[in-house]
Amino acid sequence: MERFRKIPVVAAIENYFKRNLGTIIGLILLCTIIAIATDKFLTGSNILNLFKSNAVNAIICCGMLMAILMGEIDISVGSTVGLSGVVGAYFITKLGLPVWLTVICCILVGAIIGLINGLSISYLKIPAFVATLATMSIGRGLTEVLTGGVTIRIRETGYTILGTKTIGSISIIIIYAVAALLLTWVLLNKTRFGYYVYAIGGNRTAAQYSGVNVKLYNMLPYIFIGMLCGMGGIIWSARLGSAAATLGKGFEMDAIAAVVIGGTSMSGGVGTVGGTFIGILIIGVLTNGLNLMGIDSFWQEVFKGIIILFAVIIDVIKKSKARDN
Amino acid sequence: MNGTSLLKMTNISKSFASNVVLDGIHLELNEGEVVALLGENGAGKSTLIKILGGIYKADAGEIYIDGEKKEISSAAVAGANGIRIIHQEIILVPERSIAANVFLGREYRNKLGFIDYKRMEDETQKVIDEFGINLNAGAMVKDLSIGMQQLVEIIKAISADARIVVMDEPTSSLSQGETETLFRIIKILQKKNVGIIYISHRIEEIFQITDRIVVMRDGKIVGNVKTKEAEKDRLINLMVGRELKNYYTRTKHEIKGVSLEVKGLSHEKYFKDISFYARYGEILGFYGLVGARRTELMKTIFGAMHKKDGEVYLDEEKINIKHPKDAIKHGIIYVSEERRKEGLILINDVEFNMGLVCLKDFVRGIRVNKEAWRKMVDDYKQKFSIKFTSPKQRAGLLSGGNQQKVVLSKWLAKNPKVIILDEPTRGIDVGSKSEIYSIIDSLASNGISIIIVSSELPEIINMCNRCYVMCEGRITGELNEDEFSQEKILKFATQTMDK
Repeated sequence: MERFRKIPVVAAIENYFKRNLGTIIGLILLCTIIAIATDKFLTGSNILNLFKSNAVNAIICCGMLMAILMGEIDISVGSTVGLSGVVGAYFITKLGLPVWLTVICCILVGAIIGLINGLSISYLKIPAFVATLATMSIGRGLTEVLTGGVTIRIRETGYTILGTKTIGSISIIIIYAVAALLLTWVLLNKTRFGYYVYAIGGNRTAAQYSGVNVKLYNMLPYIFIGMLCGMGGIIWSARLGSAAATLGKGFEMDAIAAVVIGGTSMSGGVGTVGGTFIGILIIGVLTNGLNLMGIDSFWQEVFKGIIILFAVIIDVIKKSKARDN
Repeated sequence: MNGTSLLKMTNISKSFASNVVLDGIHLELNEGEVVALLGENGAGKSTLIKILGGIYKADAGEIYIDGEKKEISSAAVAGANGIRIIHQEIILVPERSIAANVFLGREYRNKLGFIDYKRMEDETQKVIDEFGINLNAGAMVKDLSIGMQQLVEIIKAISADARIVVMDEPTSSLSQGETETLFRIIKILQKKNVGIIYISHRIEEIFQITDRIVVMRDGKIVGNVKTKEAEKDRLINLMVGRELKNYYTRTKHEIKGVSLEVKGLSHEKYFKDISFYARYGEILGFYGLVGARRTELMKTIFGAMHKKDGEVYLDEEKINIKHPKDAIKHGIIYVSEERRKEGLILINDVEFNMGLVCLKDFVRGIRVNKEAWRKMVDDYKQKFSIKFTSPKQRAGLLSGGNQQKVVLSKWLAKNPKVIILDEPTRGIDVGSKSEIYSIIDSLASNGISIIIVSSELPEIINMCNRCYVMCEGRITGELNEDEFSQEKILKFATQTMDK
């Protein structure tokens, strides 16, 4: 049997465009419309700003992708970001802990919430939506307890620099996001962990019958998600130089939207980091464009909701077509 | 052939609730030997295999591999001992490549701990080429035909260090070419001293490929013969040779005109060109082995699955059923074999379940006619002697027999013309079975047209006026009650199309 092998890089790029053709076209269309509607869109500073303001969403999306790949969901991400950010602010200003210890504590807070999610979903078999709804409420409640309803200001520059430093003209948080995306790509494509995430979402029984420790590998991604949210909280509070009880509110919406728009199937097993990246850009460009056009944030939520609905409908149609064949 | 003992299962017993599924099974397998496991549906083959595969735990008995006693406590342990089960249904991850599926759970990793996909793909390709299959190891599983997926399943099972391979109806979805490939694979495995347990209903196949035949019936082993010395008729006798218990009610009922008639009904995947008729006052049987597609046929008639072709007539008038509600409107009802899943709402009470079908008669707007509803429940309770403590008892707490009676009453309240009963006595104890039979009989004598789908030969032979036999999506025989015999029916049921 003769099999051609293209140069791997070329094949990979070709494959990427083929697989994400629909969303790439959508992204280009969206950019074109916004560029025509407002002349500020295609400026260097706006593009950099666009990347910067979506960096935290990108980091959370890395985790959300895993949850959805397993056919589940994590809606506690926004409140975990909030809790971690508030813990960071509280520890550094009220307790005076050193920066490195504060950072570890924040990531630990995320990991613990992730562990609770993972244990309840994987071992106690609580539906992911319900389990993470509970931790979402717990997390949000705790941020309010810690702040007492008052915004905590952070003057510690050793901490705020984690979110404000720039390298050349590129903000460090863009670099975090790129690192998170790369790490997730490696995890999903080059490690057993990632293979099992796909297998659990694609056919849990197959994974189990193949001797995979399904419970363990169903739980681990939630810890990863929690840690990413922990990071997100640090970055966000450092960037703002403050932490309020509302920190991270609604982040789960943007993350779910980006992952689903990026072609990830809600029933699990299908989805890529590359696709999610485009989803993040679509959500980012949309928000940015609507802001530039002066459309208020309440309407933005309506638009986003419609787009999510649209993406899910496409997913459902794709699936029913596949079934009919 | 090597004669060294590879596997020995002794005294294996297993019960589910009070239902004894396996009763003191002894099974031996030597290196390089292919043993056929033959038996009717429900004989306990699958349970035995699941115990060997670590999916179920036996209540009693021991498993020896290479003469050493082993505790097969999980699928992983079974795998580590070289036991590979190829399940009847395809269990693969559809959105991943063949190589990723073949190596699922034992991926190759390089020194850094990262997956070495190329090595996995190359090795998979090597195995595929060795068996002479035209496949690319990088192809997605979902893009393959069902037969090819089955072969991938087999490759997956044997590419690791397999010692004992169990194949459960491996050819049920294979084409002729693919079946030949499978036999080639089996020959290669035999040379490598792998022991194979081969489960199949296709007796010709068993004669062609196996060395020894073990026959199971009702959870026991009733025959163990060398394939060379076996005779087909004797095997069929062993398979069915149970004593017929005297608990069937058969009164003489007057058979009237044709009720339901099906002409040339086909389904995309499952069955082809099915034609039959049923009559009022008649109990019509449908017999077949696993994969005969009787349930799919009935669900299609009922509108729960989509037909590809063909027509359905009721009282000589063509009817168009697209959805179960159309069928119900025409007076055709289907009582599912999956009583607990498709027949009852287990967490709701008996009264609720019974009223579900004719809720419209009891509830108008916001007014609920409690008296009528309760009266219906009481009527059927008395008529069928259903045992429940109160109409408010949860349906899930009733015994199988009583659950089946509740399901029947729920439908009867609708005064149906045709009742399709799919495995009406599955999982029901002997006493209730007898009662269900008497209910079925009385329904038929009231002029209702009854269709029973059953895998139990005695049930067909003792209850039906006429029966059709199906095999692999076709009707292979039609018998009147004066022609009924177990041997004849089973011959039709194993009459696979000549490939």
